[in-house]
Amino acid sequence: MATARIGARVPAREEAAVQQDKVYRFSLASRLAHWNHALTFLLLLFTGMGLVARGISGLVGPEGLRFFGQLHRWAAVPFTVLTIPILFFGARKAALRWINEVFRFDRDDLRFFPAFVREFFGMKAESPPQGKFNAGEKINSILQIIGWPTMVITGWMMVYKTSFPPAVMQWVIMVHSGMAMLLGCAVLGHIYLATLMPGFREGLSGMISGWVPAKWAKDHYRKWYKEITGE
Amino acid sequence: MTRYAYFVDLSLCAGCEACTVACQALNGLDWSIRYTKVDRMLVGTYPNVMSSFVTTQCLHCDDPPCAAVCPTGATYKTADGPVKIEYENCIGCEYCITACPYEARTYDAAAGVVRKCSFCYDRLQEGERPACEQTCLTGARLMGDLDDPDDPIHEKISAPDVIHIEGTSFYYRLPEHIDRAALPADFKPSAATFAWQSIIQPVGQIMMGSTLAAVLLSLAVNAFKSRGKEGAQDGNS
Ligand code: HEM
Ligand code: SF4
Ligand code: SF4
Repeated sequence: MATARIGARVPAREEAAVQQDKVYRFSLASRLAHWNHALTFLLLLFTGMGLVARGISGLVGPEGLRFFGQLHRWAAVPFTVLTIPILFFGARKAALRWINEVFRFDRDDLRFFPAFVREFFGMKAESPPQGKFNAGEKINSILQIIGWPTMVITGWMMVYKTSFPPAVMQWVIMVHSGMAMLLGCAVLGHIYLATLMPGFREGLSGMISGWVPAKWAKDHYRKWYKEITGE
Repeated sequence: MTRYAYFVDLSLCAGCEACTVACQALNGLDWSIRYTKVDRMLVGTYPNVMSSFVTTQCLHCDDPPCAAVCPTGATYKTADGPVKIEYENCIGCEYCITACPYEARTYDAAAGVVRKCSFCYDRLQEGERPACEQTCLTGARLMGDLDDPDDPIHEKISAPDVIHIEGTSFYYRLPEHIDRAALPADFKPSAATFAWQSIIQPVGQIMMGSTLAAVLLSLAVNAFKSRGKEGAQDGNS
């Protein structure tokens, strides 16, 4: 059977694997890096929020909050050390492409936003053709690329708070919490789009199995689809 | 109402550190943790050297930044003025150490909490007076209630050479050869605190609120639309 023959081909590179009704979007290493970042980030966000939101701190009490503080430090370890090595050893080419692409915005990318807003609130919209990442994903990626080192540097400084001058730490804590709020907003939108929003949630399989429906890829990432299939 | 204040006449201080030790004994502190400190100041050049002492402790600020940053409410300002720590509620995050402009707080690694002078608030509640004041051999220290017109502290702090550390509960009198710079500076909220409380935090909250609202609206609109579609299909079949 044709499908079986094509399916037997191991999709080693995320650039080119195509099946009848599916296209390969993210390699195992890319997915591992994503989930390491995402899950540790969510744990960090949740345990960190406990320290700012008096509601949560009242609920879990001082013992609970101490425990949150410990979890926060433990989750910070894989968050800090794993993502980059996974990308470096497992998905160097794809990661470089990602970094290269997400900082470039062409006319189609700019026209994406008004169409996105209409679609988000259920109105009809014609989305312009997008590359491997749509303009919204580019913004999210940029936030992560800036946010990750910011949180890592300020966070580890906060572990050793009293080794720095208080005047410095006051700003460091402020940057840590301000960036946490910004990244928290981004992740809320990101999770909603990826799991619930029609037209976007179809992409979730790309971060699980690596494959996405070909028709969906063609509709939503026209330029990328052309690049990998030639159509 | 009660409004506690503290006066230290440094022209009387002999630098004996009896206050430090009495406080440590009362609070069961390790030798390395001092709620009240006595620093020696040397003025002039040999052989005309004059020595003098400056005592410092928590100044029980009017609007204490340590309490503002405390995530659990363990640190709080009492209605009577003293700033207190409820040690059972302290999680040892040390935010308060970073926020205090007067280095009045110490991390107690053994207990995992941050400690500081409490103005002997619990003793005051029982009608007693602070241990440091009671111990002082030269009578350099005096605690009082500013809201009580008959309190002897009024006579002391109304002297023209008494310096009030603005924004705090502390008053000092200096020996003649020492200038104001030897004392803790007047209280000034830090720029970081200002930026956080009046810019970043409100903007962040508005941002988070509107993101949540947008997502909920989108969720509702799309759920409504898909129900409409299913309804249409049901009608067709
Ligand atoms: C993107 C991931 C992260 C998020 C969303 C996050 C979030 C937060 C938040 C909201 C707070 C409370 C801030 C406040 O009280 O104003 C906090 C505190 C803190 N964060 Fe993070 N954080 C992250 C990453 C890290 C990392 C990588 C470290 C490194 C160890 C770290 C270390 C700390 C420390 C030490 C505190 C102070 C609280 C304590 O000492 O228990 N964080 N974080
Ligand atoms: S001196 Fe420091 S610890 Fe005392 S009330 Fe002021 S900020 Fe808080
Ligand atoms: S160390 Fe204790 S008193 Fe200080 S801010 Fe944290 S919880 Fe509050």
